[in-house]
Amino acid sequence: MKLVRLRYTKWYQLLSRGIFKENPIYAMALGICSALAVTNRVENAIAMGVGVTFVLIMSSASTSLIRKFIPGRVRMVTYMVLISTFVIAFQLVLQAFFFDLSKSLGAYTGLIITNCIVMGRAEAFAVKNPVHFSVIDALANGLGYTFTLLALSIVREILAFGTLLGFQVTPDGWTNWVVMAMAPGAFFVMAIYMWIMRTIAKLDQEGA
Amino acid sequence: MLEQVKMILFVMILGVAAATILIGTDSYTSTIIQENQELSLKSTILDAFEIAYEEGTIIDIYDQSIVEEAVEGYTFYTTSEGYVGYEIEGTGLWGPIEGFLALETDLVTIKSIRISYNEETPGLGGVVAEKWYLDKYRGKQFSPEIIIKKDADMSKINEVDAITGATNTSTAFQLLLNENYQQRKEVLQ
Repeated sequence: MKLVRLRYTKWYQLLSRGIFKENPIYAMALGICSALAVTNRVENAIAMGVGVTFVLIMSSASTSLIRKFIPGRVRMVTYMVLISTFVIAFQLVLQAFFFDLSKSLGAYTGLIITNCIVMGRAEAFAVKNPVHFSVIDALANGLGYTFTLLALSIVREILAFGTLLGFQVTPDGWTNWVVMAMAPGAFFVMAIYMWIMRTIAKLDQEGA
Repeated sequence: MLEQVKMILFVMILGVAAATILIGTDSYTSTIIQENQELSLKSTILDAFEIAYEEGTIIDIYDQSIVEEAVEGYTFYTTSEGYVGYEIEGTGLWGPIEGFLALETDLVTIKSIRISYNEETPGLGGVVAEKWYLDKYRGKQFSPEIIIKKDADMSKINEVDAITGATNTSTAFQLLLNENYQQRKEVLQ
């Protein structure tokens, strides 16, 4: 009984939409760039997922907080300023307190600024909704993004390096599929993944 | 008119707020970041010379065992055993590659290389920073220069295997090693 009611609460709907039905990557085809680039190892996928989720939550919360004051004509500039401020602050904090992690993420943290999902959620949701819903929406989309990255990177790391999070998982004599670590491999895995997920989520039903 | 004034005011306030956050974070973190970078450089140098240290003793051990020397605009680092090293830097495929190279006492044989920063593709070009790969350079000589190629003849004194699937990074790394050495060659001798 409780479970049935749970399904009709707004936050549940927001979560399930962001993670599953309207997943930013396979349903909306946003953030594909970074999803292709960093998914050759699970470790990178996790770090990138955490970074994007953090920036999403911060930028959605702040956009939502000042939504009544943002003049329509400069709203894009506003998102851009907010997002880049948080990304740079995030980078500085990483360098100060998690120096090793910041080195291995190197170029990727800067890429968060250009991730369409962050700006997409600000424009599509945060600017029209109260703070608490915006944060849940941002969290859901961040998780949806992270799960997709994880799924892709698990397949790619096993095939490309025979490892999972750096540990050997394939039998001896396994030949690494080098192509899986490179861009073409990323496209193949991404396409197959989108096909499977869009079928499960019933996104491509004709006449629907 | 009023709307435009509001807009300009909003943008100004937003700019000031963003700048405040950034200046605040920067002033809070900049000294810590500097210390981190200094520690990172010193530990890279100690690693390259294969001097053992622990997390808390990097600066002490470094001060005891390494002498910094500036000659003709180049900084050299020497140990009491007579090993000489220098910082290497150059362009990789996607961004800068930085690190440290230690030479044996004959000044042409590589003792070891450590890479402290790179932006190459993790798992492909990024292998350039991994210890097992850099260990292949041990004992190789700049005579006349290091050659990095596929299926290298490891018995030759100046040939090293390229990184699988990362030809461009390998080529860039070869150029970087040779250029950094050539620049300093005369000063070294």
